[in-house]
Amino acid sequence: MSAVDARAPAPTAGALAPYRVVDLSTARGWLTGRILADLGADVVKVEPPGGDPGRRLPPFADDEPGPERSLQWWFANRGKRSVCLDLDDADGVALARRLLAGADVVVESFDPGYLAERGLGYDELHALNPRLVVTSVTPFGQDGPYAGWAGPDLVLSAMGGPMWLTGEPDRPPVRISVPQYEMHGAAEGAVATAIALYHAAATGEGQHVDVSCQLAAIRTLMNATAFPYLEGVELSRQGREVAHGHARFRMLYACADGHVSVLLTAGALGGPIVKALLRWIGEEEGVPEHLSEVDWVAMDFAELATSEEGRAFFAEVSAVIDDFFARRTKAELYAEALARGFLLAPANTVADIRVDEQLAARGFFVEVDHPERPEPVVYPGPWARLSETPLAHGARAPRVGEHNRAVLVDELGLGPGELRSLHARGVV
Amino acid sequence: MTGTQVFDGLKVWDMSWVGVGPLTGRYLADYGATVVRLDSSQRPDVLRLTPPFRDGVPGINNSHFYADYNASKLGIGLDLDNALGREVAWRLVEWCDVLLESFTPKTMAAWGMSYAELRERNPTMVMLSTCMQGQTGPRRDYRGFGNLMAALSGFYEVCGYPDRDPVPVYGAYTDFVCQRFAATAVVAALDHRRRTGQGQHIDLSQYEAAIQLLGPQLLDYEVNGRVATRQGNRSELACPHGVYPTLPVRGHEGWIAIACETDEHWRALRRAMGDPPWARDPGLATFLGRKAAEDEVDAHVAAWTAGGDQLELLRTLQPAVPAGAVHDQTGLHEDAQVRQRGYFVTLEHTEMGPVPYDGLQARLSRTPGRLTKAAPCVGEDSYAVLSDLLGMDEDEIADLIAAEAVEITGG
Repeated sequence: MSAVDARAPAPTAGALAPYRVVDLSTARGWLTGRILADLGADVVKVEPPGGDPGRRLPPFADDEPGPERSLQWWFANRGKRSVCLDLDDADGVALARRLLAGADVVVESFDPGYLAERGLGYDELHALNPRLVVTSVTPFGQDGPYAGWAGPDLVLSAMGGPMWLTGEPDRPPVRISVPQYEMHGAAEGAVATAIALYHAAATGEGQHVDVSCQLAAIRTLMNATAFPYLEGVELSRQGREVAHGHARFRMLYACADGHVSVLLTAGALGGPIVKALLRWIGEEEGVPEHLSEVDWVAMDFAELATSEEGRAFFAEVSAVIDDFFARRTKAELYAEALARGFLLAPANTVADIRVDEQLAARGFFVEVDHPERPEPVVYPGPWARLSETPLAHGARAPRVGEHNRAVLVDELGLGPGELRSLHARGVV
Repeated sequence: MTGTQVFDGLKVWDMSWVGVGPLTGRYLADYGATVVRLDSSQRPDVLRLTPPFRDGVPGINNSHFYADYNASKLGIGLDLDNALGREVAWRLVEWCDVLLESFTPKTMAAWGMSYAELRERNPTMVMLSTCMQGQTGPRRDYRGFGNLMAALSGFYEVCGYPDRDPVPVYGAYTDFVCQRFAATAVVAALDHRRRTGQGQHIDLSQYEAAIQLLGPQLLDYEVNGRVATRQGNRSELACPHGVYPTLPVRGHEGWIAIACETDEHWRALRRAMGDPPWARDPGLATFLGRKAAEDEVDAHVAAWTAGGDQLELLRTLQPAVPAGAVHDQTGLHEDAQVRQRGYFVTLEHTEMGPVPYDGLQARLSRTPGRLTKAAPCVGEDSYAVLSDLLGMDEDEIADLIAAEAVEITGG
């Protein structure tokens, strides 16, 4: 174990330890509160009686459905506490208001207007608690012509632009198969919440933070959005190649047990990579002289790659690499690239990531106790190491209403009789 | 300065380059911090050499890629191989509240600028170090960028069609995961610092941050032994769930995404299509029934969309049916919602002139951030940084110029 082992106990409280977050979010907004919980905030997840509908999302532990078995729930609600409140009931709303009166942040991701219809809109919350930061994570934002439109991952990948740029020319554009863009929006919600919280702590002034997942998806396009304005060109999907202005270069190769990524380009960035790779191939199996003697660093890639002759040349180099890689594994190629100092990455699966030696050396994966299971479950660990305020980890996601008594009675001052009566009426 | 920005008065020395570091600095700059970005024409940020370029002409001051990621910042052209240049870097270390860097650990160590050394001169600063695989461990000095990291972090494997090789996700994908975690960590550390006076060092491995977005899949592997892979546009939860052709858009192919996540969505799709006979098949009323006939359902839906105008279909389907225009870049700029949000912001760049820049993804009602300027040309702000921020006089600055320690243009 190294000095930065994530499994070492946290010596101090987290960076956001003084803050109370009330998390009303639906599944698309869960990650915001999870990140704030990692930073030490006390995050109280409010669920409807019977549990958050997102608990029905697969995959499930042992593939058996159940409200305490959703792995999406486990991942994105780790470190939170849970109380049940019925926001469709006046008493439930009244309790939510009591909770919010003492909170620093509320995170929500309902369709715009949902909370206002229940007397919990931004204006009411601001009147109740002027220092409250109200963070809303929705597909398109709180207002505008598409506010309230349905925006699951496939729609966000389309309307945010990633899909147009991804896939093979002979098939429709394609999304990343694992949903991404609600999580981008929710993570952006964490940034914006932290900024608003910093302001509220200094001034006592809360505000409404309105995050658009569509815009968060657009930001993932790197440099693409300005191409039509600067170069008069619309970038499009190119399969295993990547559009680079008018030129394209190949980024992906099959190998014996999967795929690896290497840039087949030239110039200051790509030249040294191709040079080192061809030197290796040359040492092992030989490379035609007219390829090995090319000055890859001095070569003007953009010019070459847009000519017929240049394309034929790169196709020839590609074929040499294809042949060489086909007889080697991801691990062999990665190890040799590391030893020779050129850039190559295996296209890892989650199984590869789980046994990655760098992650192991840093103690990345952490064990989380699940009392209902015989063994702790190994989770992906901290997304950053903060030297003085390490991220929290280790607490599993809460069971439905697990902290009703602690939060509503011990902290909010509800009498035990009141709690029983609310419970009997199904409000909690 | 308006006096209403969250980070008014906050001083940031941005020694980072390429993606995650500069994008983290841009959050701070857009919300009011004074951010000074390290710059050089001799060792330029690779983004200065990367398109898009104004009129497609490569040039160190002609890359919009760099100008976007360093908008709202000042720049200083500095030679860190020059002793006087390094001394200016150290002055900025003492000046700053936040230091950002994204080199491999051995690079900072070679300059004598490890966190331990920097802290001696500025014990309360918040420092972000973000390299590919973290500050420790056998691969701490792995060089790379977000495209390769997207492969390493598992995103390529889950992108593409099941019967073919994966396809690369566009761009340095992991950068745009990591910028969010990095910025959150820095702002939280600043909050802690204001309460306690304590600075700290943040080690953000881009590998460890990126794979958070495969969290449920990592657990699925751990608990169920399932290895996530690519499945085109299909979903285990929704049907139909795909991308279908429309009439051409602006002279090229048009596509619309449709995701029926519930039977109610399916019924709304039927109504939108005019309830054709094939769709009335009672077997298709349930998710499992549609999933069993997915190829046929997709073919029928595609036949219906193929004769339609993309935006008309979109307005017909939403909000009852989750649907999205598959936007190209011009489509994004013309999208009614994106325009209403004012996402793209036109800024005047000294050499490139007025061009749209990516703006802010969140709207803060009382302290909205804003882009104040495009990134400078190399050396354009150097004099202002040395004079106004570090308080150097004319003689000191002249000595730096004579020693070729700084690059100053204009002024």
